[in-house]
Amino acid sequence: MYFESIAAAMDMNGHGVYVWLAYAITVSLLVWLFWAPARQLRVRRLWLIAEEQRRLASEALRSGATPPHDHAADGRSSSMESSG
Amino acid sequence: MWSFIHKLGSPPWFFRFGGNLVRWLLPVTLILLLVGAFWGLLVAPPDFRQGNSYRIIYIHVPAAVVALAGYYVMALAGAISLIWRIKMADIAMKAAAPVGAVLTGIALVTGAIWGKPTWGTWWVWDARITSMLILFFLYLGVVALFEAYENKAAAAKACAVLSLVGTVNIPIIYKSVDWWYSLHQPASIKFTGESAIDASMMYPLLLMIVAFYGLFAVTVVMNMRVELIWHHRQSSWVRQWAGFE
Repeated sequence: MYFESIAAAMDMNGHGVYVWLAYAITVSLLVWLFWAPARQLRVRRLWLIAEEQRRLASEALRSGATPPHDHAADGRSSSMESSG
Repeated sequence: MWSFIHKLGSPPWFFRFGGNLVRWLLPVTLILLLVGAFWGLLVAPPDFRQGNSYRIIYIHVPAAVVALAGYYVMALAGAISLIWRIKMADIAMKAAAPVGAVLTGIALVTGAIWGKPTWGTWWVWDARITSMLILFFLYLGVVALFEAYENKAAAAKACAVLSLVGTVNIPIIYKSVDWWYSLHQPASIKFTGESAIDASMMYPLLLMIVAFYGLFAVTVVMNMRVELIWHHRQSSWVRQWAGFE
């Protein structure tokens, strides 16, 4: 360890503001870089599931039966279409 | 070897391979980043001239190095896409562009923050910095161009041409500190000859460069997997992955 105390590591002889700001900005950008595709994969999987449910429902409708209406799936799929 | 290259072009194979790759490379990369940042911020000695502000080097240089290398990866994918019309190359190109843009952005922002205590200014229109700004716009241009086209093949073609034309900028960035009298310091680490940096400062820097390469690979593969799912949403392997069939 180069610094003798936490306060010294924070201050870095007056350069602490610059160093810690640079690291904070980098960390937040990198977190976004990892998080965004992980989230997209989840969102698209949900979209596919909702789409499949819609397809099954319309097929059931065509064959004459009344499908159970899934409001949650409807809301999810329409909001995801715009983001996809 | 050839069978491996052939497999790379297969969407379901690559999706699975990419998932496995991310599963072990992601934690390794995060550990390297943490160790490198800790070492550079708190363990390495201060620079005898710049004091502690030089510690920004441990993110600034790796981000810049990988931003440049990443551009070659994107342009190479563009060339493969133009010559052989391989869809996977389009996907790789589209996946690399936002990662490159973020890395270039990090290099520019941390450079500006480093410039303030060292040069007394946030920004100068210096050859190295200006050419890095052009690199940033090239990456953003590819990202925007992919979104601008309705037709995917046309978008990939336009992006491939843009990224190939943009490669002219890369040697200019590398050589800018030698060609022009610049405020920006020349490279500290050299492959040939003695490096202008002490080992106590160089090891954490090398570690961070490796970590940023890992970060690039992981995030590009993650982006590619998202794209693959979307391109092949009608295919049975995607439907299997989503949990039906």
